[in-house]
Amino acid sequence: MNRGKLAGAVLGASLVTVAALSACNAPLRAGIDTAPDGDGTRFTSVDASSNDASAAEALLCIAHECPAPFETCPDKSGLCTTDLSNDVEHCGACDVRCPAEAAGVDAFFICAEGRCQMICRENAGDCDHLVDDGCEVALDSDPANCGACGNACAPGEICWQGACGCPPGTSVCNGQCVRLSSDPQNCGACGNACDQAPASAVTWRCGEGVIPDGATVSCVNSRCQTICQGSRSDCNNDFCGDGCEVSIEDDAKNCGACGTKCTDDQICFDRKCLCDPGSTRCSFSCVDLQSDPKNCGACGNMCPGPEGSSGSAVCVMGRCSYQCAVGYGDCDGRLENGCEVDLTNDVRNCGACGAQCDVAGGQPCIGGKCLTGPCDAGVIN
Amino acid sequence: MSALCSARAALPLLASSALVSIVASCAAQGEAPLRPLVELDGSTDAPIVIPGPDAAALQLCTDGRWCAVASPVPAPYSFNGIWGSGPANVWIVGSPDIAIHWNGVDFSSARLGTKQTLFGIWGSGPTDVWAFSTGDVLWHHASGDLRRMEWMASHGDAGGESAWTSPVHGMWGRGAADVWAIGSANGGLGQATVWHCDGWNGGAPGWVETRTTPGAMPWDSEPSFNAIWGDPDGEVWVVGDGGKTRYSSGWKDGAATWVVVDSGTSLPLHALWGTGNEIWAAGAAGTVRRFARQPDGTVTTDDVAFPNRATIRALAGFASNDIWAGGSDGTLAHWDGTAWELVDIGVEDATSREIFALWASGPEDVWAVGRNVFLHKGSTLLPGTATP
Repeated sequence: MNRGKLAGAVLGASLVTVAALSACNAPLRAGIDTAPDGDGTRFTSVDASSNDASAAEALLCIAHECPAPFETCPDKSGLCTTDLSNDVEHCGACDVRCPAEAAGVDAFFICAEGRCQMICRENAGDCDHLVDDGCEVALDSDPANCGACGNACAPGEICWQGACGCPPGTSVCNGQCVRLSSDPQNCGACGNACDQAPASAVTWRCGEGVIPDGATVSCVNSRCQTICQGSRSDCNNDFCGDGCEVSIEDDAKNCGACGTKCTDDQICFDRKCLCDPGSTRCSFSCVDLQSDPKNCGACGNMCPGPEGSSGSAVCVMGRCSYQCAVGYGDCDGRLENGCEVDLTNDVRNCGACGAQCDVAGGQPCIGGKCLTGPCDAGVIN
Repeated sequence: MSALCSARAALPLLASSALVSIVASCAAQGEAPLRPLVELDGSTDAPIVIPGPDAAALQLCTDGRWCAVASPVPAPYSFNGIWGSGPANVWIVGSPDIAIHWNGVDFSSARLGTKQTLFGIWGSGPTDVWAFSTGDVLWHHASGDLRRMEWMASHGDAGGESAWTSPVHGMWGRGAADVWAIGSANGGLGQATVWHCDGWNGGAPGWVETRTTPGAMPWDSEPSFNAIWGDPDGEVWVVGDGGKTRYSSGWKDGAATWVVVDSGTSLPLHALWGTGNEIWAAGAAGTVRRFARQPDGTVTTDDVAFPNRATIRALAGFASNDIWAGGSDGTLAHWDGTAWELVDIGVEDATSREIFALWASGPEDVWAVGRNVFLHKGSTLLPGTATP
């Protein structure tokens, strides 16, 4: 068999496996501390061990050379455990490190296809294409690069939130777009602040200088006048009597709006009645006790286990469990270290817990499969 | 009043302030602090009967085989605990608050009126059945009338600020007046994880905590225990996280003295069962330990090989050569005195299923329940029983 074609096929299969692992977040399995013997944790067909390999692929032998983009880099344990295509510490080659995140340049670096690439943060742009100054443009406010590099606004026009000019209904005041009809700092005109307005410029609904309980002077229809402030409301229409007597923030009889009543078993919190039927209230949250890992089976019953990219605590039908991310396995049965094995490159747990490659022979695990290649002289099957 | 005081002081996992306040206020009024939650005959509160499939015809399982039982509640389900006083009085509890009763002829099922998970069930007899939860709730069935699924509860306000407490992981007792509960330390400093009471006591069990670690300071954390088992003489064993294993000769003069046993593992142990001088424990990664009492009073520990690395959740048996184990990945295994042998539970996608509890009245009446697992072995006629 042509060695090049076969090697390409093996590599192709490995890459497909890796791509699938990256794209899919489907749970590998559920079950706290399940560790097991291949059956519960396998995510690819495993040809682990030299015997398995020789039986399943009669023409394939154990291979040792890392297929691209994998490499054995000095600072990582195991064979072929570094993916040079996306490792920022080893981008394209071992020890080729992408620049660290630099303060003030609004950028960070990733390794993609074996090359370090600069990524701008939101609303920042690299318009001069120079890495040294990072993403030097504020795309949300730069009139010369408004929303995108080179997108210039008309002379005198401001760039507001990435678009030229102010949105309809707003006006420019001190370089900002404000709504003159309701902005208490710019009420009716730029700079006309209600809290500093002369008494004659305020509409006093209950007499000059009278501010009822829970009310304030704010901007309504471009005029400063006394109105309810914040979450306070005048639900009994007696503004000049008891003022804004209700807090719709937490009033179960006026929850979110006057007259909106919660049921007897609900509370009003953050302007909402808690909880809807079907969910359970734990303090001030509505949860599903059957699936919430912080309230599993009962309020406050937090499922144990480390949280991370390799696994997380889950709540399955009201019982705590632990779920490994795709490509990881809990091979030692210990909850405290979660899914401690990377099944994609662990030669002792290659593709599944306990599926061992030819460790003594230096056979690496690539994409969850013990590496094989075409048989040739000098390699013992 | 002494019972109330001891409950307040000694049972953090149960004694939420709400529970105490309920007991206190009712005691003051001279009324029972409880309310019936479910009655299937509808004589009190409206029952919350679970609609299920039409009753399946009774069938006989093939001799010597495990058979799937037609569940009275639709899948998916999680049956977390099972206990019975005999072949015609078997209780099964599950998530979220399912209670199922087998009276030897048919199943009845109901919700207990809470959304909390029912973690397990234990009783000293037909008129003293306890169901426990991950939360601060205990339920008690005492009517003995098997046609009435009547449960009493003592609990705090579900979801309220007082509702937080540790889960109860297991219960066992030598009788209605000698009852033990175990649970999780949950990170609380000085929190006990084993308690004893002298009975339901009208809804105010007089729980008294007991520390299992000799020489520990009052502020030291106790191990989280997952399983409890005792023999007819009152000797009690507990196992838990970190392989922690203890036994006590029983509750005497208001206290218990514990002996620490080296299990030889730091993996969590989840299940216990014993016979004669042998006590078996099992847990994560296929860990099985056999403890043997020696004539000189010492205890020896054997590491017994298990055929896979599943998390073993339950043990039940009849003799030192007839023990069943169940756990994750659809694992069901039998010990014949020489070796553990896996049994095919005969269902599709078995590895996604998990056995949480086993119970048996005898070799011809063995139940295995869990996440989408409802199996029986023996000569009993059961609904929809079919040989896989």
